[in-house]
Amino acid sequence: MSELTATAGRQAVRPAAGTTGLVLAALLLVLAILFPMFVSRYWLALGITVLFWTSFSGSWNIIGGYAGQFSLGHAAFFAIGAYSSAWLYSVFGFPTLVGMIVGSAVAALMALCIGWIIFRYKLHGTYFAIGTLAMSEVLRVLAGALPWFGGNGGIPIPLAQERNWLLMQFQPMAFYYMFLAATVVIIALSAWIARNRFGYQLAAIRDSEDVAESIGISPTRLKLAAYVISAALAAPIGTLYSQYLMFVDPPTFFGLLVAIQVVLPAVIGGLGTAFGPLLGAIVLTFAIELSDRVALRPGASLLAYGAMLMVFSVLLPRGLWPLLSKMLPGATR
Amino acid sequence: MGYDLFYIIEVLLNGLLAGGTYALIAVSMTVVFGVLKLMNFGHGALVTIGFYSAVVAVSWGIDPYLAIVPAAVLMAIVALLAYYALIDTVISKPALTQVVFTLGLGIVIEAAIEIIWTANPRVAPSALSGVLFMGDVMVSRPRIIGFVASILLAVGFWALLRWTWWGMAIRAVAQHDAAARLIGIPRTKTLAIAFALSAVAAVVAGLLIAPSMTISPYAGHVFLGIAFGAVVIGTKGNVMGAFVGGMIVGLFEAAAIAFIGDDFKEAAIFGLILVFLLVRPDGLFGKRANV
Amino acid sequence: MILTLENVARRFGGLVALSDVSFSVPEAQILGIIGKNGAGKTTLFNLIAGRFAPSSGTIRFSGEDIGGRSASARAMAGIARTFQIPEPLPRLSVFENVLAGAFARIRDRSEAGRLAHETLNFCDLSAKADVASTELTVPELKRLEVARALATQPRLLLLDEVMAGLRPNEVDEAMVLCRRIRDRGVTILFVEHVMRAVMNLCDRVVVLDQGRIIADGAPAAIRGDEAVIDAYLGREADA
Repeated sequence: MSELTATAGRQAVRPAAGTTGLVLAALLLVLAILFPMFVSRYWLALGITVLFWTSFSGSWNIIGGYAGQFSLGHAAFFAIGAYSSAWLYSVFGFPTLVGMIVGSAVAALMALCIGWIIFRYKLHGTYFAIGTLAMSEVLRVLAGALPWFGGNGGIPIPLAQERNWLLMQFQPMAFYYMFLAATVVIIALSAWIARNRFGYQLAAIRDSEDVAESIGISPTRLKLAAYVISAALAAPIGTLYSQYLMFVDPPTFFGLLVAIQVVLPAVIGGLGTAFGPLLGAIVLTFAIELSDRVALRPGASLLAYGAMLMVFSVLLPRGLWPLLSKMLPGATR
Repeated sequence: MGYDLFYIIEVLLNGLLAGGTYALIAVSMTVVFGVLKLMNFGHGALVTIGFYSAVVAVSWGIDPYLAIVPAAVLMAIVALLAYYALIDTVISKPALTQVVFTLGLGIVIEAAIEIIWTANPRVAPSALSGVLFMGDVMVSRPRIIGFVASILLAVGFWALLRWTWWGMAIRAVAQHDAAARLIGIPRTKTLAIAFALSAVAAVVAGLLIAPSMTISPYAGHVFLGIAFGAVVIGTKGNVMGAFVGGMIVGLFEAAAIAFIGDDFKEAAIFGLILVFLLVRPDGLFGKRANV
Repeated sequence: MILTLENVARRFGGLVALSDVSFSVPEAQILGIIGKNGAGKTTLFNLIAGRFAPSSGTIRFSGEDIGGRSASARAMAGIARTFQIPEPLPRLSVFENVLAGAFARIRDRSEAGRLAHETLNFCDLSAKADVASTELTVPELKRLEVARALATQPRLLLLDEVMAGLRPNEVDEAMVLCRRIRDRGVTILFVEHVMRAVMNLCDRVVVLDQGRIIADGAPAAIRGDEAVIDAYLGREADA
């Protein structure tokens, strides 16, 4: 059995920076910016869902795809972000924006501690996956059981009395743009990583830690860096999402379900590629929507989802991106 | 709260019984992970099939426990077919492919169950349901049966692996794939049988657990993470180890409930699993994938 | 002396793989380490490369004790190594492999890219720069190993049986490359079986047998050494 690591395509570290590629990306961005102005609430919500999963999965992609460390505990950092801002606001009245930054810092610190232990003990592959899941589950139980965080019902976010953008209680359209901003940042960051020193060194670690060491890379240090970055990016997404829902609770924000859902867009779309999570999020979101519309019975859409996973895993093991990039001549190099 | 002998016995007893449940599922999982080396994220669906076998049996007026043998036979056939049709496709693929594929398959099975039986919670009571009183201690009868069954299952598996030809074949493939091929062991058939054994064990586990819980299509997930932990603790591939691992987790859980409360018990269990992963990732029984 | 080993020993449990190994390597020397299989060459190689620390004794690199340093720290200190079975990074092109090496000391991508191209040129791999690293022939793979190691700008290059599996003309080309590397001021330490390369290329040869040094001197002297002949039974490996 092979190790549970990224099986990203050869294009994984190729910079998608040909002129055609940049033009297309810019076009895509313009479309995305214009999108909410012309569509119904329904489509707006769909758009938010896509962008949410893109940015969330994109944050996972850094540790899971680029660094090749298949984490199943990513939900923890997402939840830490959400809980931080919600708790600081509902208990102390901290502006949510401040809470978001604090959440990111806490998540980063948590990743530093967890990662230091896990990478020091050389957990890798399946064991790393289960280990991170175990860590996340411990945090989930604590969040639900400790009295200060609202128990299993979580923390409802109090409605703001006055208009204050620092409290980040927006209209859906504004949330769309916030998630779009997050998506753009993460995709740009991913592309930058892929093209520069960090990305190449991560690629070396992913393929062979021995080789990586021989060219001066300290695997533990870099994996830790990727893990911390991943966490720091996931937390604000958590804050945004909790603000969108106006609550945070253990079942919705923690858990294996979230952990698996955050992994799938990157895997389906193209692990370790900048646009993979976006592709995956689009496909998965629309597949669910479509099958929900068409479904005759509850459960049918889930069945279609499962079938789709099976098909994708066998037919497109490296995800959609390698296929797409081949169809766009000159777009990637 | 005096920690008198009586209390300790009660804790131990509950632990063993819970352990029985975990052990049942762990034994079914360990062969898949250790022998087929398959990252099966859909294993829960097999247990759920067991749950709903019990539901079907009850709806036909048959006691779930009586349905075990027919269900096992049926599952064996289905699993063999499923192996050749589906699982074999991904057995040599990278781990990630296996994860997504089996995850999808598991979802398909559970969704199908939801379509047929709806997500409404159900029960599958057996004539043997109910409780038994041992002194002042109340224990659930199905759980005792589950405990005894898990011992029998583990021993049965172990005997099968040790004393039958196919058992030897399975162990050979688990320990050294290439060598097994060289001495003429039919790899695909062996893996198919191993998979079938594992699936049967999972379904039987489901049938045994069913009378003591509320059943819904996604109810099996709760056990999965814990059962996987038991597999890791007992060394993946090691059947007796899975049993021991299940017991350890069960006892640990009971102790956790006693000392830090029901709310935190899962944290304690996952903490235990994490410690094992850090300190003894190859389990209690060492590096050999001995079954 | 760029590299000094003093009374280095390495034990694995009860097995003594190396004992009382002492020698010094001056800068820009080409040193060959030979010995039968099991003599301890690989252990010595890995010891210097930093895969593990000596059980006793000291290893000094440019005067500094590096015994406790990790492999990556040693790479950063200036010791580069190749792998006996070439391990190209499979998802990267030839150029990108060397680029990864260049990134050891250079942060900026353009600058690292320039060094990578220059190194590829030096190793005669420029033509294959954009080819997938998995599609190279054996000698090309070996050259890639060397190129990647060179891109880290080492002062000491450890080559692990780099001639193995090469045809005679390829061995000649490899020897030319090694001399060019040495002419740039890089010290080379070979572990090798291919005697022709050892005898013609090395300034000095160290012979290991059962974990000990049994001879240390110029190739010509080693050739006639009784102890060495005994140890090898007069065998010359394929050249």
